[in-house]
Amino acid sequence: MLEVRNIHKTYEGKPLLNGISFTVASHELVCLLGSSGSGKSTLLRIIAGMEEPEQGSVWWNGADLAGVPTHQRGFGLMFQDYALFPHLTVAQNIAYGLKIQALPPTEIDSRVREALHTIRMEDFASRPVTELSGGEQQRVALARALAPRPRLLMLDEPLGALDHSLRVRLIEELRLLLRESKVPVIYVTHDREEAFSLADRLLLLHEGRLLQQGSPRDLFLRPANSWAAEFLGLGNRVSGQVGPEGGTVLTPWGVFACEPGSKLPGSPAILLLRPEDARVSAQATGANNTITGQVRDCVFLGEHFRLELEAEGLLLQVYSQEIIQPGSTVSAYWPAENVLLLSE
Amino acid sequence: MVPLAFVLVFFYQPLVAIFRLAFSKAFVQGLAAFKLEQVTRPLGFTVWQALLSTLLTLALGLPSAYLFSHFTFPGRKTLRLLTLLPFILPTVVTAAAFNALLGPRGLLNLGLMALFKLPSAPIHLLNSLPAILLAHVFYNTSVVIRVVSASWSRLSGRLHQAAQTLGASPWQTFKTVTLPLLMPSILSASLLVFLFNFSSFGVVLMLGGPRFATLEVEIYTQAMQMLNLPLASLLSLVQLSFTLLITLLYNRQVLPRVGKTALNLESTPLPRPRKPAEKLLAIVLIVTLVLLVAAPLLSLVARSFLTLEAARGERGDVQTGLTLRYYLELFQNRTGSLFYVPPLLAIRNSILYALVTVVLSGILGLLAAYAMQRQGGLRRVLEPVLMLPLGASAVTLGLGFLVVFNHPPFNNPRFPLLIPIAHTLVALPLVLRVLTSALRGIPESLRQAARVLGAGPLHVFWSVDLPLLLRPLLAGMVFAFTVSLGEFGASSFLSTPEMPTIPVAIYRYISQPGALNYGQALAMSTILLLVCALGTLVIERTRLPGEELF
Repeated sequence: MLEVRNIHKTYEGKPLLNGISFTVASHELVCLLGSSGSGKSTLLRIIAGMEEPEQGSVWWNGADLAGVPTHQRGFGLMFQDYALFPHLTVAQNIAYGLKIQALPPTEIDSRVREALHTIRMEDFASRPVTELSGGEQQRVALARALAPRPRLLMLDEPLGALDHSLRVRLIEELRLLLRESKVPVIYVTHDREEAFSLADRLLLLHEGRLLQQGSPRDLFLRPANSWAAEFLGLGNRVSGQVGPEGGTVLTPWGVFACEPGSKLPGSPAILLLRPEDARVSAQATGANNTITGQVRDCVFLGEHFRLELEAEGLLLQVYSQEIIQPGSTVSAYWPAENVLLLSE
Repeated sequence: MVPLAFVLVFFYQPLVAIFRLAFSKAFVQGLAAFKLEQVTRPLGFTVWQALLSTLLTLALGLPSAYLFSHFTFPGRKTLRLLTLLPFILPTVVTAAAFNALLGPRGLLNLGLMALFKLPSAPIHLLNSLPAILLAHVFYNTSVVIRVVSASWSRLSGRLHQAAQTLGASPWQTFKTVTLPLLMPSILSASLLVFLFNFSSFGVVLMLGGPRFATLEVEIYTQAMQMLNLPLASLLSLVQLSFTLLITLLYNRQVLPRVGKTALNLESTPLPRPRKPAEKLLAIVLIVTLVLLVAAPLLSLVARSFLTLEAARGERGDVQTGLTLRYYLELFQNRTGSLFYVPPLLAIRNSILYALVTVVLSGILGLLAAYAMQRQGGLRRVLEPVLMLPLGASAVTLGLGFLVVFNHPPFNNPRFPLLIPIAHTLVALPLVLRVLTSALRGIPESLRQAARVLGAGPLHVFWSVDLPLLLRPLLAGMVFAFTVSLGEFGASSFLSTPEMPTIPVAIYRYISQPGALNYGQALAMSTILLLVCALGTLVIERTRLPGEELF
């Protein structure tokens, strides 16, 4: 299947991709997650053969693809701006790749109809693509990329240009469509919601390197470091020092017991305190694993209230089942098994 | 590389020759060989009439731009089309049209004479400054309307609302918001109009009469009648440096700022004029525009079907009647006369030249547009080099060709390529402008999408670029066709008596006495007018929404 080996690429003199290696197995949906400007799209273009890496190579089924031009790689790519041909109709856009494969017209016809059926746009066949809405364009772009039955499908922020509610709906559609297509998929996004709900496997790209890879659950439970926890929006990060005996961390807001890590006593440490794990009580206690502070704000989110807690220069978010008046003092307690020691 | 070589050989080589010619005499005989007055007088008049014309054009164009960008009214589209027509109309046709309206044998004078039983023509507008100014306003109003109304209608109404909620009165809003945002496009239109007026040739030659000479006309007179090539060259240089300055100013300073104003994202349908003041303005402007554009053109057409068998000596008693004679006469062969210009031959020549021009400028335009698309050194060289001929006048071009290509095979009257090459140089900058902006409008992702879907480089061009470029290419080619058909400045230098083009033939007819010659000139002008009207229609139809020619 696809194998990406040690890709290096600089952009305007600065390293953009700094030794990226990963594989994609058949039927696998891999999400490439990273902030904007992290080189995700560049990586896709390198795989598609539209850009040359400065170092490293792309392999398919054991064959090096260097020197194979884009149009002979047999990979599908769905563009961020969809790149639908404005001079062609919906059906002609979908048929474009099939015509290049020189399939017989009847075959093209039936494949286009099949594709239109899959995206539930049968009635749109002869419409100009310029008259479609954003969501419709997105579906046509997907159908066009899938119609030639590519060996690998790449999607570059396919939902990036759409508004939030449409995105939520289309993520579900995409999931089903991509699963049905049984094509290996590389899906590029900066949105963790999209990545978590779509991916079999997540690749976290940061500062030109693959910081972490694994299932969405792996990343959620064990983020590689402080940056990953922040980027994935996992919760509050509190810095301190590893205590003299293993399994404790000293912070300005109190002592925290946690699962023992490999860190030496006295070394700096960052704790992940998730808002959903906090146990909020109205009494101010000085116990371990507790932060006491003043409620700045209380927002009802449906399942619970979100409290903005301020404690001596620290701002925290915790969830509470009860409504709590801003201005009152509360303490939040995290059991040791819910306190995660992060690396830098 | 091909377009570069073409421009180097056919534009810069003549230019250098003009330089040499102008300075060789200066070096041999000293600058005293030229009287200073010989240069300053035409220069002064050129600047003076260009300024006046530009101001007059703005005076009519700006309110019209307001009308077009803010209101809808019956016939809006037609009027818009009508005002575009003069822009691609050949100067000789314009001159013939104004002659047919205002001339001693024109409709207006004939009408007044018939009405008041006057013995002779009461209006002597021809061969006067007002005639020149009127024709220039006729020509260029469309430029102001197009350029300014395009950015005026893009100005978001929200900006005005915002200014007014902040306490600005309507006048203050206009002064502090509208005007500053419109300034780049007003400036751009003014410079463009000034440039066109500055290098006006046919209009001044045919409507201004012997008393008025712009630089262009003076170059022509010196070269073709006085045979004073060094002086003509010197004048060419003066002309060239001025137009170059204006072009540079336009390309570097003004053009980049146009279109960067706040965009109007919501496209609300335009209202009709409601307030009495608005209605009055609309009516006055519409009537003025229709009169300005339609009156000369209609009298041209009408006059070309009208006989005027005034028995000589019996002034005022003219027999009028409808006739097709002038048209039929175009197909008669009267080779007996010394001054005879075979009209069919002129038509055939013009069409052939125009076709060659279309092919040449199409191919060169495409090649150059792609070369300029690329980043890097070649582009930096190519852009100014290719855009420069826009600033050079056709007369200078004609003179340069005359000086350089005066040896075989070029000086053979049967060598047919010199005129279309000159026409290509005239048409190329605008063809190129249309094509480059269209090419820039094709997102790279479309080509990448085609490649990912399996298309090789050639197939990408064939299935993505070409279909998307087709409309602008067609517009550019139609434009080149009409430019070539109507081009007068360079052709007047390069066409030989045996091989005239339509405009040259019209000029010769109209400057010869006799009702038949006059009628034939008008008949040919009418045919040319028809072709240009068709061209305008095609250009307007192929125009992508929101895109302008300038």
